[in-house]
This record gives sequence, structure tokens and C-alpha cells, in this order.
Amino acid sequence: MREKLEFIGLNKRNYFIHSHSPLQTNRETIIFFNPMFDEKKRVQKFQCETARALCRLGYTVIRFDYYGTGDSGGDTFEFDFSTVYSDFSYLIDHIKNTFSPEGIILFGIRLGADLALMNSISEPTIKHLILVEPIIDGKRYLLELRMRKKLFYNLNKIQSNKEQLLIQEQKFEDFQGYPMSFENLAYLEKMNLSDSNIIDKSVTIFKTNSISNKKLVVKFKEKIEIKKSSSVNIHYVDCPEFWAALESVDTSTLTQQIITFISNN
Amino acid sequence: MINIFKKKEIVISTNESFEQIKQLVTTILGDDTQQIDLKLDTKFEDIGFDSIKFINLLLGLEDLIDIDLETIAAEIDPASIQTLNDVVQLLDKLKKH
Repeated sequence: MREKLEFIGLNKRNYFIHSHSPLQTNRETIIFFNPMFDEKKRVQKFQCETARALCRLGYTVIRFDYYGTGDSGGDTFEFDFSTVYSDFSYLIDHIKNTFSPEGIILFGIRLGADLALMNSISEPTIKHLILVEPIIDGKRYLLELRMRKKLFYNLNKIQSNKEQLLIQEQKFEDFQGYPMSFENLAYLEKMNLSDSNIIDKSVTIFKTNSISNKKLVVKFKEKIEIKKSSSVNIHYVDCPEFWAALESVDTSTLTQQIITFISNN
Repeated sequence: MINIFKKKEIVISTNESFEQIKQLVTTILGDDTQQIDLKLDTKFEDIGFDSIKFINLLLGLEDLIDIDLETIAAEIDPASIQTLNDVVQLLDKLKKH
């Protein structure tokens, strides 16, 4: 297995890309979509272990940071959902030119699952998606984030928490150090995976017992399958440690179930 | 007499709620709870709770009594939650909805 970390210019923006290339490729490429906010840090080890395990199966695995996040260019406040969509086609072109894959699978975690699914709509060649703990309802996710922010301030005894930030004369809402523009907040308010118009895709969801809210995932499956445009399978995984604590957790159960599923399909 | 009856009812409810909260906290903390004796006055900051574990506890309430997160958000004052008892009181309040 060979791993390469590089910066690539896509649509005039600097992107950090981490590629995992197998010694013997099966000509399939899996693109990882990160979660956002502090959830990105929490899944770092899980992502790394899963990417390497998939690579050992023969998949080329691509991990990247959205513009304004992680190692990619741009300040944190420059992250924009519309940029994720506008630059995805450039990323796909880069992957096709570099790895010549016969198939591309999108692998998204939490909010990354939503971004993977929405991006797949404009790419009919993408037939399969693997979503780990997807956010089904953006409005509800915002409510969770706002409650978490208050709980975080309370737990850490932070008194003067500013609800709004002013950066370059633009208003942002602060989420424990991650500023979100009002355009991004409006996008999240409207986002609902159950309303997405996905056609001819096979969606596999991995739902752990570390985060509640199983009903929304089941409703998503029902709504998509009523349209008969795509199939949705849900795998429930006993992995309560998934979010337990930063990188010191054992998420091997979840990785193993994903590997077993991919090996058998 | 009516007052005594009501008082007894609240005590029983609180005990049940405490057991439910203990169960949820134990599930969220996993192996870490084996050596912790959870009591009503146990502080969340003393048992390694962070904001994600906290929100999971609140989502657990949602499943436990089939109430939506919006209602929980309307009833909760995050700044007032310090101990298990604070969440037990919240659960008792939510059960009356």
C-alpha cells in the first residue's frame, strides 16, 4: 500500500488530498467525505483505519479536506457548502485522470454523508454510497449543535459565550470555534436527506448505537424506497464507543462490519 | 391526605427516572462506568462527560419517553445541569408532557 499526501489546486482553490493506493488495485475508488465541526477530529482514527483496511482489499481510497477545513486552503470561516458542490466535479476529474477508476463509491460520515449523497446526484456514474451515521434532518442537527454548544460552555464553565461573530464585516454563528455563515446555516435549516432526489443509487447506511435517533434513518429509507428510485439498506452496528472520546476509542467493530460488507458485495 | 399521596407518587417516579438515567449514563460511558458509583449528586464533569456525551444523553431521553428534541430543548436550561439529579428532574418534567 502506498499513501500520498499532496496539495492540489481545484477550481483555483488549494485542496489537501490523502490518497491510499493498493499494491493490486481492483479499479474501484472510494472517496471519503468528512464530518464537520469537532466531529471531524473524533472520527480521524476511525477514518484512517477504515481507509487502510479498504485499501488492503484493493480499493484506492481518497480522503480530502473541504476548502476552509483541515489542511486545505482557506480560513475556517471560508467554508461554504456551495463550494463543496462546485469543486466536487473538479475533484472527480482529478481522480479519473490520476487513477482511471472503473467505479467510484462515496463514503460519508455524519454531515459528510449528506454532502456525499447530494454530490452523487450530479454524478450518474456514482452508483453506490456508504453513509455512516448520516444527518437526516439539517434543522434538527442545528438544534443539536446549538444545545451542544450551550452544554459545552456549561461543562467548561465558560461565561461569556458570544452567539455571533463578526468576521470581515460578515455575521457568523460560532459553534465551539467553528464559525458558520448565515448562508451555511440557511442551507442546513433546509437540508433533509429524505427529500433528496437520488436516482439509481444503492445506499448503505451504518448506524451505531452510540447516537440515538434511529427513527429518522428508518423514515429516510421508507421515503426513498417509496419513490422506487434507489435502494437503501441499514446495518445496525454495536459500537457505542464511536463518539466516546476523541481518538482513543476502539471503533474496530464498525470498521470490520464495513469491510465485511464491502468484501461480500 | 391527597398531598401525602402525591408526594409518594413523585418519589416513586423519581426513583424510576433515576434508574433510567443511570442506565443511559452507563450505556454512554461504556466500560468507563464500571468503577463509578452513580448517585443523584454525581456531577457530570466528574465522570468525564463532554458535550457529545451530553447530547447523546438528551437524545436517549427522546427515545426513552418518545418525546421530540424540540420539546426537550424548550424545557432544558443547559446552564442549570450539573448533576444526575438535574437530568432526573428534567425527565420527570418531560414525563408530564
